Amino acid sequence: MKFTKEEVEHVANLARLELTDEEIKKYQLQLSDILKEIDKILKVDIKEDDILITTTKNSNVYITDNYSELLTKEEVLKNANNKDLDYIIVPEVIE
Amino acid sequence: MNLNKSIKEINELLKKKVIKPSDLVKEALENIKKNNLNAFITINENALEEAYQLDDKPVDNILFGIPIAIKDNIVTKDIKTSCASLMLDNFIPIYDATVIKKIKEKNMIIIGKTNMDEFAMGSSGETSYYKPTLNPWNENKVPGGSSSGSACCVSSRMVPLALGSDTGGSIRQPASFCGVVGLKPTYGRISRYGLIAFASSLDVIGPITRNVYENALLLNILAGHDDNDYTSSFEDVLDYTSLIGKDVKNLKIAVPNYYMSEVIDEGVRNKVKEVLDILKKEGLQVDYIDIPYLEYSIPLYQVIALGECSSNLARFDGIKYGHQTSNYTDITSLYKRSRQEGFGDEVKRRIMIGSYVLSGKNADIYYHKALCLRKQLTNSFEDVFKKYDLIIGPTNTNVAYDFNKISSDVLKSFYDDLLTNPVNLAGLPSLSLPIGFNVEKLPIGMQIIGNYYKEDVIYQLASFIEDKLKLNLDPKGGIKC
Repeated sequence: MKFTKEEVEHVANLARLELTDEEIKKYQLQLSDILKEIDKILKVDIKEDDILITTTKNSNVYITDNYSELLTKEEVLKNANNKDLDYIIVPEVIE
Repeated sequence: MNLNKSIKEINELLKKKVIKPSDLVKEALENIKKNNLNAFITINENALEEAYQLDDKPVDNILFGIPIAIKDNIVTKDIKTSCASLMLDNFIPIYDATVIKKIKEKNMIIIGKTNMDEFAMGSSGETSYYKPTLNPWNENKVPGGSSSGSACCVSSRMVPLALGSDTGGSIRQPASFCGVVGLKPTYGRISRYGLIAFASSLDVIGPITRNVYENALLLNILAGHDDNDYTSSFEDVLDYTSLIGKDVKNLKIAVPNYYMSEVIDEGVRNKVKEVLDILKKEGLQVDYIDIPYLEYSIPLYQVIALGECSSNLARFDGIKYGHQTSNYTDITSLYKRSRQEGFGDEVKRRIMIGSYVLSGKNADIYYHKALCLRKQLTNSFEDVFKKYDLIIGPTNTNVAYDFNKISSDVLKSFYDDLLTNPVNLAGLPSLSLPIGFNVEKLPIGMQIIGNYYKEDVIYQLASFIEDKLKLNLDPKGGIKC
């Protein structure tokens, strides 16, 4: 499959990326190259009812219901770019 | 020149008070300053002060006072952790990863944070925002990746120990290109708490060292269950040095035909064959076998790893932490431009493919199929371990290559993982061991894959081979340790 301009724009939107026209052209080719490789798994003839999501053998891991460490407000806000006292400032999201 | 000695010797000198931890840290900082290999992103400015505080303390364990380098995707409280990305160029973690806590409990000294491929996405070290790391054996060659700086700083003898992480080969590949020992442990053997996630079902942290014994020593302190990582294993932690030096005659070895095919460089194959001959001569059973579905590991890895990474990297929104654009009009443009500016080319490509394979009906077409195939591939490996103790093959298809090869071929970084990523998909442990050099004096690595939680058996055979080969692995030709 070959990625169209619209398809690259669609996946860029899903990935929350803004792309320049030049980048869109480049990724049309590059994403198509990768997808051509990925398509190889579609041809494999296997049972399709047995899946593996993770190799961990753990099941139902419970942790004790108490806290051992608490972060301070100062720590939580330490890496935020735009803040005021106890708040992180973001652009308006409700009109 | 104390850091060139073995950890055992250094420990003796510390115990006898002939040297102090501060001497070791001064030497490590001096080594880092002298080298121009771009192995580090950040140096721990408090390292020397931390060492002074240890100088008068009793030496209570074999790793006491030893400087260690940490890959820059493992969070360290109050020390910048960038993942080699502009996105996290200003990020100062507020907590320590579990492995960092364990290292500090043993009074080891974190010397700095090492260069890597951006968000561990790459196999040559070249996708770093902070420019590539160089290979200590030949500065015109890549060191491998993504744990490029960790492999480089151990290889060039700046520090004796480092931590890396491995999602598709990111410890073993640079270990092989730089001539050091790198272990990808069983999935879940070491806690991932504080490892900035790339693909959560594949990621592991592991030790990179100059020799096999010191690798096992480091695994001893890192392994174990952690309440903060519910995928970490409850299996008993072993003394991973305990089988080193024990007789290997009864070990049964499988060599996948796929790992010795013509895709692999002939020089690399021949070196592996030389090692297999040593093992046969010693009386070990060595059989060539087929492992079904190995040939699909690259596209399989692409679906699983990129699907997971697109989800994991969704957290970088430019708001709570990380790079924020100064040019936005609303919340969506803030997200999109922050990510556009903050991520490099390789990362963008991977999260777009990941978003594609997980979106709408593609999730059924690609992702579900990949999960089924992953099950079959894992079953194939499990069948091998019903009859054999270890699987052996080359770590890479070739030795370290020239810079700028990945820029013209977007599949190159995936094909570099041809022999390493099947092991991540199955969650097995695997160690890369240097077994010799090619005609250009570039190191060749061999992979020893073990059954789940059998890192001790891997070390047993690796140490036997290391002892037989007695290679000088110091790029500047110094003393072997």
